[in-house]
Amino acid sequence: MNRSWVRRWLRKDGIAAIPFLAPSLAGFCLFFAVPLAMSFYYSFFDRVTDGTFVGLGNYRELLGSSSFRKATGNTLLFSGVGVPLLILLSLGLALLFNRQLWLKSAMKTAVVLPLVVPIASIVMITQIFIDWNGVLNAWLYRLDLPRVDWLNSDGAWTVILLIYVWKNIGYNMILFLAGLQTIPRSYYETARMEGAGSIRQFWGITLVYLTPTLFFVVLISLVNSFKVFRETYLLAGAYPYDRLYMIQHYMNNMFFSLDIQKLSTAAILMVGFIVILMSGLLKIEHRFLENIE
Amino acid sequence: MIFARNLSRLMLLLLTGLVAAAMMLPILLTVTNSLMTEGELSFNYSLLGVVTEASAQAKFVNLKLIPDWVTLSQYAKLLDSTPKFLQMFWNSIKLVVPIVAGQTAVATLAAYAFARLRFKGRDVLFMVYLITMVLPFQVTLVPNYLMIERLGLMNTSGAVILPGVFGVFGIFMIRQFMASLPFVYTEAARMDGAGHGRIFWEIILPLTKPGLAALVILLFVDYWNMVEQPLIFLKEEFDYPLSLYLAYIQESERGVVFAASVLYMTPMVLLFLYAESYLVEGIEHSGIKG
Amino acid sequence: MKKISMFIVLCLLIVVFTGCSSAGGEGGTVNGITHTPTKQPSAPTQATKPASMPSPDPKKQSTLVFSMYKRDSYFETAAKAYEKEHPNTKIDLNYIVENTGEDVSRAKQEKFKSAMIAEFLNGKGPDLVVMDELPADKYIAKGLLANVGDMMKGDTSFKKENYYMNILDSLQTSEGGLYMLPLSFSLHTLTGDQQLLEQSGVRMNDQSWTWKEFLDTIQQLTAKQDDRYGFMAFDENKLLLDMARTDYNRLVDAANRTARFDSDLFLGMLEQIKQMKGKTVLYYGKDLKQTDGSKGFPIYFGENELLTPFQYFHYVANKQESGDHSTAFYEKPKAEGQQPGGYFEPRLKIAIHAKSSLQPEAWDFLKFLMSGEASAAAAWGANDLTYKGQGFNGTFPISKSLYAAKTNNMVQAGPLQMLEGGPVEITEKDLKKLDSLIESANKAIFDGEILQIMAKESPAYFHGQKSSQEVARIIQNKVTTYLNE
Repeated sequence: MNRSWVRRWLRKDGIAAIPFLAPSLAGFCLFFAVPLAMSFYYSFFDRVTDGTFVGLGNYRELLGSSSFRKATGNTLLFSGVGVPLLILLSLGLALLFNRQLWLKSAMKTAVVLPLVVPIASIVMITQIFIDWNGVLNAWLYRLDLPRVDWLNSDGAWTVILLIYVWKNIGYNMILFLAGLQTIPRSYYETARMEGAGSIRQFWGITLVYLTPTLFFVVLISLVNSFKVFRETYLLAGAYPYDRLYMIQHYMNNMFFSLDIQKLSTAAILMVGFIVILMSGLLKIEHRFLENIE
Repeated sequence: MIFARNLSRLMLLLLTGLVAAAMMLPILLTVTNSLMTEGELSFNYSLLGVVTEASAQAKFVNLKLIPDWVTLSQYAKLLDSTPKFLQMFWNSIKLVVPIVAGQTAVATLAAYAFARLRFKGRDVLFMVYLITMVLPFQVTLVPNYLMIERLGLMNTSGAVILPGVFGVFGIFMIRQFMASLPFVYTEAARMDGAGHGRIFWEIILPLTKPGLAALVILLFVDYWNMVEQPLIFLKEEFDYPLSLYLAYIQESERGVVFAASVLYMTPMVLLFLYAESYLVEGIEHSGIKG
Repeated sequence: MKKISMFIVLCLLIVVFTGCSSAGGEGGTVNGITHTPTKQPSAPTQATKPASMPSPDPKKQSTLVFSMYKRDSYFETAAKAYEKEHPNTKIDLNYIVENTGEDVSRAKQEKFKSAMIAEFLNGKGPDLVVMDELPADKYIAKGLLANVGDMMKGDTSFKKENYYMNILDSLQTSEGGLYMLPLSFSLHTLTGDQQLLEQSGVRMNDQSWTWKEFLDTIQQLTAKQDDRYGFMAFDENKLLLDMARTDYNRLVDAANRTARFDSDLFLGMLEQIKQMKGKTVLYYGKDLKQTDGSKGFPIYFGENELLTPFQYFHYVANKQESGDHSTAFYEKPKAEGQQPGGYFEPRLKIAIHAKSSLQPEAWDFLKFLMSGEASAAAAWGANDLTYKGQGFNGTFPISKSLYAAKTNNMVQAGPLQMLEGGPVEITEKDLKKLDSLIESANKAIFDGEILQIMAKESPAYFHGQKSSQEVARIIQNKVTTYLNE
């Protein structure tokens, strides 16, 4: 370690940070950082123990796999549509609930409740609707239309999207509500006195001061869009309809095929993507923090 | 004027009411179905997942909201003939409460460092933290397994609780709240020569209360629903949490799945109703005016 | 082509780097019997090492870890007996469930699979493991299992003539390695009334027939004006599985990662199975549910999985009672040009961890398990022979001497009391028939993800929900995804 680097580090809040960070850092290293580093290491070897260094061989092989490319494309599509949709809807609801509203508390509870529904219930209720003998097909039958095997159709994609939005909208709403509370009311009062309308207040105050929360919500929504795998898996198995085959299916299948190399490699590529996305978001956030200081 | 305002309020109420009703439908289904007899359930859902002949044209699952007879027999059966159920319920609490308490404490401290302090490598370290949140469980399962074994935690509740306590979700979330608090709040204290400990404890922490409330709710929900860690790292079925029972419930147990779900949801609903008031507690209640 | 050459380079690297360091007989990436009988070029083969297994040091204190998903009482008896004979060796039996009934949700099976992956890949893992619930081909491909075939060859005290080598030989991978030893097996056969079939005048050769020839034969048989049905299969899906297995190499090209489930071959299978329904083929699972069992329908051929010798005698006795003249067992159809021989399904397949430091001890214990010494003493009457709950003790053992000892017990015990109907005398002649059935078995029934995908999607066609093209397209897509992962 370079001495001038240490000195510079100490001149800032480095020392002060130690007691705050130490407990977390210790546990984090044990349970997260070391395993992550090992995964990174595996992605360059051909087997887990006594492996041989294969350089980028695993990466080349992975990119050559048409199933991996399909999984990546599907995941990008799903998250690309799902995340913005979810954020728009939940932000709208949060703004709505942040105002005076009759029966507000009851409504809010209703929106948050899907969060707590156990997966077994979600899967079963979904099945009641999309099964071959399910409710949707009963409606089609009444309209004299042929039945649809929803899980093997493009409709399945919409179903999973609906589950995702339904389940996570309350999650995001809680985050947005908590974020909205950190914006001092006085800012709005000042703005109002200066004659700003509610739309200007939204763009000029709400959205600006919500930026850190938004950054957080984007990433959490992304993480949760990966987690909808559990429902998809229980509904459609390890090899679902083409459009539903996501990167988590690929990773799960690689795990059970004992192919930790491909699994790690896929994970590292995913990490790379997330890092790029986050650096962008962090940069925006930094600009925001400089602005309000 | 008053009329117009009331009208717009009514429209809003209708709109949100509609959304809320749609959101509630699956939950309503779960609750009402939990009050049905097993006979009614099997009559309604016997065709689920069955490959029927194409000739059986008009046969469908029977979706019903109102039970023919309201009965608590599912609950009785669940609590009576599944002695494991209460045990699993208790196991869930024993796992989740320490995780939520631990992670909230550890995360609040770390979040302060990430949000309010400047030190070299801060952003890179934070990025590494975030990455681990995104990865699916299987990715690090093999090295994790080794780690848990080395630490002698295999088949103990520590194997589930400790990784939970050091989970990074809380850090991320609280950091965002602390970062968005204007620096003017703390500048005065710093002028007065207050240390970071005092600033953290007396200024920042009280201001983060809505965030902490949200964190507790979300952590509780997340860990109440966990499946993989307890399945892999706990050996004895006696130690399994409720989420495991529910995640792998079978068709044969369809008769109790709804009742089990309702009981499963109850603690989370109660927690939400309790914590909700903290959630909306505005910043002006905290004694500091910006 | 590029991929293959890359692989070869990779394999060479592995050979160079691991050549001196690896202790176990690893290497030889192959498709295990549970998967596909085709060759894959991606096999990192290793120079054959001198094949001699040191006998375990009797003075060394050692604990063998033996893991399995489901408990089998035989393992417990055997472990105790072995520990008694070898006071310095401890057997540490680990199982996840007592019986499958307690794991209807398969949660524990998933746990077992995940834990085994984590342990094996960390270079730990048990010394011996029952592979029945694990994807053996993947373990073999990763070089995690020791070549027990080499151990067998190198061990002079192992007497080949005491075992059904026809079974063991047919479990070898395409490179000649043997990575799992089944302690027992079941037989998959066709049954029919020999006298009746001979009288019909239809020419048939069950040693060589393909599914097409077999089905043609049935059609000729049923063309006659009598009330006899052709073939009673279990259900459409099982028939499809059987047909797809024999033509597996034409449906799946694992080396080139392509599938041909959208081909006329597969569409033909689907359609034929449906078309023949009726006079030619009946389905036990569906058509017979309404009637009172097999007696209700006179048939030419039936299919049967024999799990225990008792089932064999029971089946024959039952058939006789319902008016069969001479019940005979026939070989199930096979791929064109395949050598004659019946099908069997290996059970209780045991493997030795390639990284185990106790390989000589593990092999010695495995040998003991195979010999069935600990089981020979057990009675083998009718009650012990029903497969249910019996595990190893009730099945066909891989050890010839154990089988002989037990059947001998059975003959000595006099007439065999059947579950229904009177006692049946078992003669040497009956036993000979069964013996030849076992001796001729040389085709392992295999399973795998591809067949499972197929079996999951096909019923929609058989039940008229979708067209054959639709079903074939879905299967083709999913299998292609699987092959290209």
